[in-house]
Amino acid sequence: MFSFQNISIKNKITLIIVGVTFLVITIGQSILFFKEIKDQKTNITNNYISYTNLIAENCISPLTFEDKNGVYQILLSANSTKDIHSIFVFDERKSVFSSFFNDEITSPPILRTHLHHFESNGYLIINQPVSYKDKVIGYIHVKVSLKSYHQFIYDKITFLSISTLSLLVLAYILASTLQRFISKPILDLANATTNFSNLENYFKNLNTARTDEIGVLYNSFNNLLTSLSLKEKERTAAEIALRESEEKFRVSFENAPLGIALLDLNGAFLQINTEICNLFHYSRAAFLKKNIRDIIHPSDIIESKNILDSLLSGKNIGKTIEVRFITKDNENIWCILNSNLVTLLDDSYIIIHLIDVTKRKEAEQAHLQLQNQVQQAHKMETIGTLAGGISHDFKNILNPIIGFSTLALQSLPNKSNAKKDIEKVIKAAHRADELVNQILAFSRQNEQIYSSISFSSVIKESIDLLRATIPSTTEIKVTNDISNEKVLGNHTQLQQVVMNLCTNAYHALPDGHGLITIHSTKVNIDQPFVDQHNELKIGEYLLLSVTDNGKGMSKDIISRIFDPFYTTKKVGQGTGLGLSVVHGVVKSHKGHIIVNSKTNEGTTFNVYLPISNEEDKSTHIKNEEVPEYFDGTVMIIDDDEMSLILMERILTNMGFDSIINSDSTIALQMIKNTPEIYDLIVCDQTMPKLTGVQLASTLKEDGIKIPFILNTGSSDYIDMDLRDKGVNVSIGKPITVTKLKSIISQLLPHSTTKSRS
Amino acid sequence: MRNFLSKSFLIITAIIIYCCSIFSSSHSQADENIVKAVFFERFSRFIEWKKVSNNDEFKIIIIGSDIRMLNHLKKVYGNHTIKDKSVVIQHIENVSDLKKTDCDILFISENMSKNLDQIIEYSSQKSILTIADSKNFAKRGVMINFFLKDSSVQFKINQEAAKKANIFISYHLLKMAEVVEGS
Repeated sequence: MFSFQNISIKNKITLIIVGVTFLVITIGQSILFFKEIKDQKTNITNNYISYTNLIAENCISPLTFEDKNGVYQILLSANSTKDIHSIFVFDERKSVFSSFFNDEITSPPILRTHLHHFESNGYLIINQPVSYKDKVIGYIHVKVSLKSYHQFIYDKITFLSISTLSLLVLAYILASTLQRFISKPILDLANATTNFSNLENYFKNLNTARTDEIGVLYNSFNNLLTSLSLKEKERTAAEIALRESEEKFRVSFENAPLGIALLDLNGAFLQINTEICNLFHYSRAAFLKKNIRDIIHPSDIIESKNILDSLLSGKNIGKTIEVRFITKDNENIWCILNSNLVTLLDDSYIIIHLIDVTKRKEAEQAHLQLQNQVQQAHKMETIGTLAGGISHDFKNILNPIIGFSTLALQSLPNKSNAKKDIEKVIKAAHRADELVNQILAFSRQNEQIYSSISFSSVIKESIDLLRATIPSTTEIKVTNDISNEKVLGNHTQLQQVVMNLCTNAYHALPDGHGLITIHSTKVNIDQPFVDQHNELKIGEYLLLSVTDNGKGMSKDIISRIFDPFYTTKKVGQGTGLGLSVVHGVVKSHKGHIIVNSKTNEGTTFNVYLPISNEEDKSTHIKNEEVPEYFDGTVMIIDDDEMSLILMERILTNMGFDSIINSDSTIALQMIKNTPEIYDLIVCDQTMPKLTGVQLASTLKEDGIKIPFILNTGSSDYIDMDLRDKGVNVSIGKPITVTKLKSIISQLLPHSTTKSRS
Repeated sequence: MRNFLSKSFLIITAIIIYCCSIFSSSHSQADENIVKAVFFERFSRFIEWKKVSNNDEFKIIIIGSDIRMLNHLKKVYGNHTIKDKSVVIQHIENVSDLKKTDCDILFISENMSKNLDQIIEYSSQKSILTIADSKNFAKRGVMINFFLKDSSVQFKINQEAAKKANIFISYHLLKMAEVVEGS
């Protein structure tokens, strides 16, 4: 379909010029044509009216004098006028007076009132009255053929058509020739524009010599090119800068050590960086199909829901929360989630930053756990120190009570009431001593004698004892994965550990109904486990697990179960020292105890004890026959006067010559001065100025070899090999006469006698 | 008024028919004179008298012995007007009678040939249209003189005489006449 817009500008100009020319000529010639036609018509009319008037004028006198011949002669003049069809002259009575016919004779017309008119059959009719001095004396009817008029029209149309056509041809030729003056600059401009658009050539300027509108246009175009060139340079520079910026941003975005993602307000991921993929182990394509709700940990989804909803609704911006996420491998990772609402091109998005804090979180948990352990250890150490100090003082108090009571008992007659009373005092004092021993066991300050022990036998013996005390409603299940693994420790204490744990498990069972599982196995402790429990060392350990399916414990209770005298049991069911003793024993055996408990599910105590293949280095007390009396001189050193007197009485009763001294420095000097007179030294440990061990060490350094018994209320040095420091035996308070005799008999085998000499 | 118009129409029609009958047949003497009498009124249409006449009558005097013309004029204009004035026709015999009266048209009979100059002189002074039907009278100074040609009544006009008598004759009338010159 023809479209004016699609033809070339040359043809447009030509077409416009030709069209305008045609239009102007047509309109002009039409106007002229119709004007001429009208003028011609008017002229014809006027001419024939004049002609009629002339005839009328000439006919006045012939009509007046009724000279028909005269009238006819006048009418004959119409012979020379071919267009006149006929003329009728009427007298004043409107009767035909005379007539003239150029072509054919026609019947007389009917006179009409209007002077002239054009008939549709191509004739001009003129009716003219003949009057003289305002008196009508007749009428003239002239009928004029319009053939010449029509011929005039035809000729005029022909002429106009030919002239119009000629002018159009001329206009076309001129337009085709002259359009170049307009189209060529425009085409040059178009070519320059095309050249610019195709080649982006900003430097092909147009010739601006012209001063007309085209010249102005060229100048404007050149200015435009210059401006565009500058803008292009700026744009290119800006584009390069933008590209660099985008590249920097992309590199920064992609290589950011934190995950960055762009989300829509529904939570769908729109853009993510590499760290996000690395964090969640998803491919980029797979991740972009996910919603943030898909990767939040179910446990956190509820907690996060409100925050997330308000975040996604754009209300909660700039919020930083710690949320757990689930990776593709179904692993949990902790992330700090920071979110912000951003607006890009009128659309709102959410940009989130994810920082993987899983390790930090784990470290924090480990640190917290460790801190709890340290706090627990510190607490237990503090309590132990306190208990140990109190126990030491108790021991020092019990020592003279038991000692003097024993001495008093020896001097009282049998079956006397006083002897019975004294025996009750001694029994009560021993019960107190046993209690103090338990406290010392917790605080690891009591005397410990270690030996290589088969732990399976410890368990077995303990179970046998437990069977007798725990009712049959409680099922005890024992699984033993160890055979001959041994631990270096105290058999009795370890047995007490097993029994205390089982008794505790039994008390946790509702009404004694339930299952107690005792499991022992060998485990290898590695570094990660050591990192979590720094009381342990890398190596083989024996693991004793005592599990019950009882009521379990809360965290608060767990944090206090090892505290001495803390109990959740009813009055009479426990002293609150059972687990404290277990803790103390395990710690004194360089082991570790871990409690896992959940409310209403049960509790498991895991006891780790180092497996040892060492030989028994403890001092064994042989059950040999104890002599009654000894011979020799003994130096007794104690800053506590009561203990000093008691020890003097005991050793004197044994037959020794006792030299007492409450000042260790004076005593040291005395021994140094005359070492040969002393057969035995019995010395307290805790003294001002110079302790027992320091005194023994000094003597050893000086080469003085006198058997040295360290008598101490605390057990600080029990675990140590004190023979290197000059101490032969260390015994705890309160000392019994029998035990002291046994020790002395081993130290001084040659000074014993069956009876007092 | 209506009666007057219809009456005038009938009279004119009768005159025309009468005239037509005169022109259509061979002209007799009587017909000839009738036509001449009718022509009096036609002449008056194309002639303007410069003198001021206060009379309401149009007076025609016949001088001489031509009684026939007198009779025809009386027939034609007995009930007819000239220039919208009633026509008075008077007959006189001599010049002296003429000087006693005034008129608009003076018909000079042929027998007044001897006194023609005197009559013309007087008529010229009085601005009287002079009409005759005698040979050479036009050349002698009569303003309109009838003559027969091919049996039709025609007339000669002495325009100089008319101008002398201060009478204006239209060219329409002149076209119809044979114009002669003479004193």
